[in-house]
Amino acid sequence: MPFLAVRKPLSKEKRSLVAILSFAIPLMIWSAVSYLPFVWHPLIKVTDAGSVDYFKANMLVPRETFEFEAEKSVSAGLDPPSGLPANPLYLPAPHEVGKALYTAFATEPRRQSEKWLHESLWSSIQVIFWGFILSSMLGIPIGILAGTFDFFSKLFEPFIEFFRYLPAPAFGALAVAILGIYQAPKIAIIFIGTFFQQVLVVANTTRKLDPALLEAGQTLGANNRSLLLKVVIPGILPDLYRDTRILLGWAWTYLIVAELIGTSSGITWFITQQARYKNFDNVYAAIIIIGVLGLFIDFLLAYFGRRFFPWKTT
Amino acid sequence: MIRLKLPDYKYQTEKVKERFSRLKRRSITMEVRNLTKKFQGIDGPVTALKNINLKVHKREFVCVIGPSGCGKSTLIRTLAGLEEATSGEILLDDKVVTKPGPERGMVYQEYTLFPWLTVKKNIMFGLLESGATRSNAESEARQWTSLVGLEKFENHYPSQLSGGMKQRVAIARALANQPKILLMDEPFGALDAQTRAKMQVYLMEIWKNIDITILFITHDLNEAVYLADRVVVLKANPGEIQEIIEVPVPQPRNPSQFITPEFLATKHHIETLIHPKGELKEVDNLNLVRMVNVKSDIGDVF
Amino acid sequence: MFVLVEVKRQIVNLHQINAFPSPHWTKKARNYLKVGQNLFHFENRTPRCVAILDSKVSLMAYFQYQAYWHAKCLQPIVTDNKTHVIYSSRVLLELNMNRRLAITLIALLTLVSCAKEEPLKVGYSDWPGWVTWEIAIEKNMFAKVGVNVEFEWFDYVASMDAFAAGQLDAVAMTNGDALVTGATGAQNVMILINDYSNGNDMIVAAPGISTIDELKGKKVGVEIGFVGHLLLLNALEKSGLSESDVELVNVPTNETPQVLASGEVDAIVAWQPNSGQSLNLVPGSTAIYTSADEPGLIYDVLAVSPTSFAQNRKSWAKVIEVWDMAVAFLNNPETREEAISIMAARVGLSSEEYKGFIEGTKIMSVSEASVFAERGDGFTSIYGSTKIADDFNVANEVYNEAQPIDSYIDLSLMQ
Repeated sequence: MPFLAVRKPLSKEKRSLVAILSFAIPLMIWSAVSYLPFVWHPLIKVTDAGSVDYFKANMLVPRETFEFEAEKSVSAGLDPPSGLPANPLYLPAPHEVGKALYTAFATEPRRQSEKWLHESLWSSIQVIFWGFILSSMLGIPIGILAGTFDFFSKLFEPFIEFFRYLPAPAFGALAVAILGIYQAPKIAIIFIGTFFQQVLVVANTTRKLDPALLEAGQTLGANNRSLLLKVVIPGILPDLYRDTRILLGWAWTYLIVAELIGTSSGITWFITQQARYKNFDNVYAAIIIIGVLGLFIDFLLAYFGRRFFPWKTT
Repeated sequence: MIRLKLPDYKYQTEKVKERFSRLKRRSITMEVRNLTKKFQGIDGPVTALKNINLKVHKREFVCVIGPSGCGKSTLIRTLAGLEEATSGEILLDDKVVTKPGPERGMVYQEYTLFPWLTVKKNIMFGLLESGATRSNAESEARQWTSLVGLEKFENHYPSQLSGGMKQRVAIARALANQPKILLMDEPFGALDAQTRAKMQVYLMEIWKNIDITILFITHDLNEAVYLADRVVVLKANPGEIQEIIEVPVPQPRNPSQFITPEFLATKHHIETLIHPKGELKEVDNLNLVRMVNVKSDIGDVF
Repeated sequence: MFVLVEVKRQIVNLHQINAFPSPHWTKKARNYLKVGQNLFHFENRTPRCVAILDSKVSLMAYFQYQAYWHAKCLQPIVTDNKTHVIYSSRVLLELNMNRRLAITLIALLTLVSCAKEEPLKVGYSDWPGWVTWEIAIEKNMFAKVGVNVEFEWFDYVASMDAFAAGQLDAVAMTNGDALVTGATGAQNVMILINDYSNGNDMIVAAPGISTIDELKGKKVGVEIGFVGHLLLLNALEKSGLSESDVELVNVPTNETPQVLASGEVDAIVAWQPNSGQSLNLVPGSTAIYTSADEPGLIYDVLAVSPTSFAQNRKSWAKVIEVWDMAVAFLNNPETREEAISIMAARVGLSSEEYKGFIEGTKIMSVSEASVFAERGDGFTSIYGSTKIADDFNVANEVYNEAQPIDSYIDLSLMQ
């Protein structure tokens, strides 16, 4: 079987190989840009200022400026500066990010009130978890009702369609005024960011249930209540589960806004703060942590999904 | 061309005639009175069914056949209560019905088994809805699975079964509710020829052994003549009853009857009803010119 | 019979007393609040809170709450650094008071302390002068002087939002922002000057420009209406120029380094860390004017809600006491290293990186700051500086009406 066959699954070995490549290729590009001076390196890191008065050791200057100053000093018979090609600050090399990643988990907090990185991460996860659970507790039932009964669809959806265009961060100040400064307003932002989408997505999923199943249920004597509980809900459950996995990803994207509201805490605040001081190795380390965590949770959910819905796998 | 000399389809042997007269004395399970169904189409209202009148006797097997678009499916869905009649009424044991209910079992072409329930639980669904206890429902469901020959598969999910097996489960599921009439909407349409023949035999067996009246929709002439006591022929635009034919093929049926004169005569008659001579319209003709090179290896297929 | 009871450190808000059975209690409580301060002195401490109750009703309250008290309240009181309350009630017993009355008192204390024993909440954010509070937090200085304060770390704008929403008792702001916050509805009083910017705010000019005069007719990137704008106006004025002599380009402060590097503008105005980044990013660029050239242009303060200030005056006095301790810790050569490392850790930087930021800020002890607390015109007085900020805000339509400066400043606790 060739690698490129239209709509044919790859063999198991090839699948794993390609999956590894999907991570290896970006990493290789990143490494090439970072370690091969001729690939990009638009700046020069000054090692010796020479006679240039404003140069300092470890200063990053554009290549042209450096060459211009070097020529100028040579023609004036002065010491030329020396330096090495370098990338801009916002593109740290893989090993620097790796080091930051290790340091982040291995270094004890410097203040007693400061949290370990995994504690910040845990606080972020809790915010996501509660925001998402609350949203799901309301959003899924409403979505199912709206998808099943036109009455609820017309009652809820016009307003939700309107509301979902309002950016969740806009409610930050209101959330703080009502819910205080700690986790509650952050959870509220996650909730607002997820809930309205969730209702619409769940309603749509519910509508996609094969109507023949509902008819079959009716001809078997099921009333509205039974149709809802014994046909609609079990019928959409696998799709609902898939929607939930996708929506959970949404919730993560709102985290970065949520954690800037009220007291500063959590992993994304860490990212914002480090970016402000241009410590991009830490920024990328934190991004990688979130990515790995998200991927892990998704794998876990996919695994449980196969357990929960055995009729889907065969 | 040799043309078979066929008897008149209306000719019935004494035995058959006698059976029909007995059949007509039976009570009426389902009666359709002046049923009309109109839809709001894109170009204005469309009459899907017009003045349908039909009486189905107890334990009778009635097939409905007609050209595509004649409203066969609309008819059976209306009978099941899934569509609302525009006018007219449907009586089940002399009582008017308007909504779907378990006393009218329904079997679809697409099986419509609940994919999240095992075979046994699919059959239990209706039983539990009608208020049976779990243990009763379970033991009854077991009986049904064994009746349709699927004991070994009672804990399988529908996706693990073949088409024929799925349809047997669907029939068992509908029958478990002990309906007065079983409405079947082209149930074997999606099956291959062999399985379909087998399923027809199964269905005859079930019909013979269980107290059930069957209304069966099909577009397959052989199937209709083979299974039915009477065949209702519909015509399209609007969907009206063209003729109700008493099938002169003696009961009990078996596959060897497919080439008996009365079978062929009935089939031929229905054929002429559904596709009258000269009906083939211009749009259906291909417009081909010879494009094969005369010198080609095979210049002429004949 | 009326009984006056001390409840530790926290004034029972009058609306809480409203929660007691009869409305006329509230009235009586108001009358007795002042009187009560002189009635009991435990451990040489002035009672902060006085609650009044009618013994008959309170006895009922006691019986009602007895179970609750045993189950829930006694434990937290003992463990949750509220031993003082229990101790006081013991003293009451020792004072040979009527036993029944004493029980009543305990019941009331329990009620009150269960209802409200919240610490003062202060929001602070990333500015060297405010990060100095971290020293006090890390070294438990608040506990040492016996004041219950919680500092909450925020993004600067988020901290002002939380204060405006009534979620904080105080917030660390600049004097200019205190006016903006007050003008838009969140009344506040500046009770402590932490620092003034001493070089952290800069006008950074592209290579080839070395004085303010040379800016004439050039483009300057600045976040209009913010302190950088004020610094620019001050610089222009000193060189005999005005705003119309330069072309202002509105640039968010955190984007100023890139904007200067792009060559779109000839100079930018920013504060740390953006000002330092601009210098690093554009080789040959120089700071042609900084806040060190005009000390007091921007004061960083602790602004308290008037309600909390009135009710917890003594606590705020102690907070100011703690500030002095923290600054002393920072300025003491022996502990300076540790102080800087605590501060650097707060913002997630190394001590080495953070030192530069501290140097650009004049962090002042209370006595150093009291010089600027005198009334006066010009930048050497917080009154003058705030007045200039007010004029600036009105001129730039940050708000419409000039603010009553005096109501915003009460530095009496610094004396």
